[in-house]
Amino acid sequence: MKEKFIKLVKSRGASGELSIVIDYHFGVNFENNIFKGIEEGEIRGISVRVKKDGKIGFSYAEGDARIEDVVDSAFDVLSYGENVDFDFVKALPPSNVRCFDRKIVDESRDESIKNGKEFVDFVRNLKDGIKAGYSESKDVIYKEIVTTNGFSGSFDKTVKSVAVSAFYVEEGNFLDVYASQSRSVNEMFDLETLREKIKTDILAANRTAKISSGKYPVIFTPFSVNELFTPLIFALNGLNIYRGRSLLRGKLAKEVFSPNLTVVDNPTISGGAYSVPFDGEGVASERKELIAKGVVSNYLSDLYVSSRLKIASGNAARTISYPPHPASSNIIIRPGDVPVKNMLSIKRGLLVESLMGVAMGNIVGGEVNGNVELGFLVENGKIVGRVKNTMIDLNIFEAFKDIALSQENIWLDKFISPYFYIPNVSVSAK
Amino acid sequence: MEKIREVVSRKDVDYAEIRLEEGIQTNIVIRGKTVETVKQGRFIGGNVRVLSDGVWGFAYFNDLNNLKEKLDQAVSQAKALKNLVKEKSGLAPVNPVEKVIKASLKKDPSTVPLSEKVKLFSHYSNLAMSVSKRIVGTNISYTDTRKTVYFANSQGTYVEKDILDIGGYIIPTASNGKIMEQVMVPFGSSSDYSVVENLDNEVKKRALLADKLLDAGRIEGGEYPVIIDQHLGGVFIHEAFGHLSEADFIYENEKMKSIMRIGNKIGSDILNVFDSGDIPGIRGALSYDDEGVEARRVYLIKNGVLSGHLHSRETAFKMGEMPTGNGRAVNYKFPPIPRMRTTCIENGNAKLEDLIKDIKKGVYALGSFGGQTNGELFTFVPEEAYLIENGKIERLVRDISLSGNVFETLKNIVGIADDFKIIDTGGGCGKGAQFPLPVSHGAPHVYIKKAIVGGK
Repeated sequence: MKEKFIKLVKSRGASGELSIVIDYHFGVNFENNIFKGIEEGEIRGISVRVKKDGKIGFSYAEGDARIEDVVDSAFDVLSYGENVDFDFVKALPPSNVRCFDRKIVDESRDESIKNGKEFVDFVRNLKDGIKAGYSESKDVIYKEIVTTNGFSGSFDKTVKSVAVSAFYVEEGNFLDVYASQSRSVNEMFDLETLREKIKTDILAANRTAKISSGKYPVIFTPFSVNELFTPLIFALNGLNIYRGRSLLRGKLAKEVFSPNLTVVDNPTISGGAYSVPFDGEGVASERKELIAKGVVSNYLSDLYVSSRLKIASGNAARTISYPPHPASSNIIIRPGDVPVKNMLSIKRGLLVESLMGVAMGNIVGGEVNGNVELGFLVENGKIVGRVKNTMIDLNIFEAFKDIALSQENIWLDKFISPYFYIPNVSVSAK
Repeated sequence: MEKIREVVSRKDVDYAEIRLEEGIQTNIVIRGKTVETVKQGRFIGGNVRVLSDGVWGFAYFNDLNNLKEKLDQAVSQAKALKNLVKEKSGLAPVNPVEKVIKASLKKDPSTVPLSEKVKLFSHYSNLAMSVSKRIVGTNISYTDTRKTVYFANSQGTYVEKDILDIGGYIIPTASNGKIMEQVMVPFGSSSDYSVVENLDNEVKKRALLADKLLDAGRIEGGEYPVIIDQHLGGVFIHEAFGHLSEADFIYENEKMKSIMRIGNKIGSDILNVFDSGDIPGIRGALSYDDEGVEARRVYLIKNGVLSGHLHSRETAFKMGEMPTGNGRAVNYKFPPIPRMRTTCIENGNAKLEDLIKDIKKGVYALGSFGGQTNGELFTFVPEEAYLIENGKIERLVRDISLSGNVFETLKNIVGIADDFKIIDTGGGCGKGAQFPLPVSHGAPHVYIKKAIVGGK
């Protein structure tokens, strides 16, 4: 198919890029304390980009397809795009990144079921009537990119993900605690962190507390950083910068945030769920500092954005049906120097484990505006109890000017993050 | 498709089914003055699901050769787990049907040249940006998907569905350099490309609103009486109560069964809520679900009393209720689970003006970027909101979110207007990994005595 693709594209006086993906999936699922079964599947797909007279066309096929048809379809849409001034990658050496583990492939079905059973038993012992959920999935992925410019690269990748939850209902009060972790290397799993998180939250939520509307210090645990960082990752996306949809446009090399904030995108870390030797366009993976001590130092970029903004590429993600676009990989937030214990020694404030509704809010404007799905009142250094019917509202472009970060950090799926302390957050409560 | 009927008709298991689908999708993305993506793609795939001794086996693939072999694998997978699965599954009985359902189209998007579609959405983008210098960008997405789903099971059902889904949005973004605001013109249909035509007035109106929001003030956070419009009312009932009514949230939890027991008083007397697939042309229209069950209308709440649940055949079996035709799968990679179709609050008899007049200090919230729930608590983010003072709409406010406890809020509905409307939107409903499933929702204006408003 590859040779045919190159021939087809070159015969039409164009250059081209072919991406091949094969994903074998296996999953084990427990719901409501009950083993539900396993699921298996395999997906194969190709996507192509062609470039002629400065314009790019994209097409894809999931499942059986003739390469001729997919290439024709890409040429059909070629005329609609803007003129671009980048070309597909040439022969480049990929980075040496550890993202495949034979142990994940070889781990037996029974082992995964055993892990699930152990977790369910662990949760059931925490409280009567509690319902545990456990899902373990493994993906063995083959990715290949070939360009008419001479690049031909492929790699195998494994991703193992574990998602755990505990659900409890008492007199109309729902408690839903959940956490997940993904890695590409089995030995880097740290399931104890997930178990500890579920246990701590369940026990702490036994007590309830109330907070009145006002401004308070709020501590965000690493489990809530995904929501807290939604507007920041959006604003650091080079495509949003270039299209004028980011308030960080024009802020390169400027100090926008607290000097305590350093954020790195790193697709090369060993065992990361998002680690790859090269990105969705064949560009070798590299560590990229996005914010260095509060200064905006780089944006996430693919080849297109890179040619427009004159910055380094290497952050292109793609799926079978979606063309390359800038996206984050593993995000590492540098820890600070405050022990969590000291961070908690506030007179009155909140500890937030998870938020709801942030993604629907004004992300482009930097708003983190949502319901505290799971959070606790902290008074004089002690966790008093779970708060409900409580909302928080902050804008990252203001709030991240004054933050403190913990010494401790936790690696979940995408983020390796410390605890965040933000001193003055609007809290609305019943 | 005689072949799948033949392959699936086996007697060595309790139940077997095969679901295959093939389709084509067109997608246009425009940002500001740039046509960022125009793409067309094809997909083909399928799955087999078997129930053997009460244990499920499921496998998906997109190589459609050797279906018998794939079914054999799913059977041996289920049989191997026989001693590990303690709680056996089953399926509520339904009469076998044979149906071939053609999409009923008013204007088929495949008759519109791609160049015209690109031209139309580029025009909307330029129009939005011409409204004000402070409109700094747009985010426009249009997708049409046409697919055929073939379903056969070992009980003799065969359903072939031809499905069209159109969905998307036009989002103008306004900025003054310090803050950014955006609003949305959503669209969606299962029958008619013309829903994306003649949107000029709406695009201009929404772009002007995005511009105005830059000068709007904030509201002090706290508890307020709130009136929500038809769009937000639809999102509210979908998020706050629809998900709770999906029986897989209830069927294995005795406490949830008690909370969600049919006959329980759950809302105010004036509240009536239904879920149905029988409203044609909208994204939530559905005649047969992905288990070959007729999609019947279900009243979830009648006069404030809980009156139904949303079922797949499995949840109906376990709860001893009738299947409702809510067993849906987003695509061939997933088994069907209970999902909504078109979820609505029925009309009341109040007038919007009278509802507003009743409020001393409160909020009128319109439109929605979406919502989220965890069963008990919900949050949604309106696009547009006004402060009501002494019975009058006083001023536009920006960046608010609404939240509350589902059960308290359903009882706090004190007024329902007589202006029911369904507003179809792009995107879709997400549950676990199954996203985006086409659904619709509708409501009249709804007056909630108190909700928490997030603000400064």
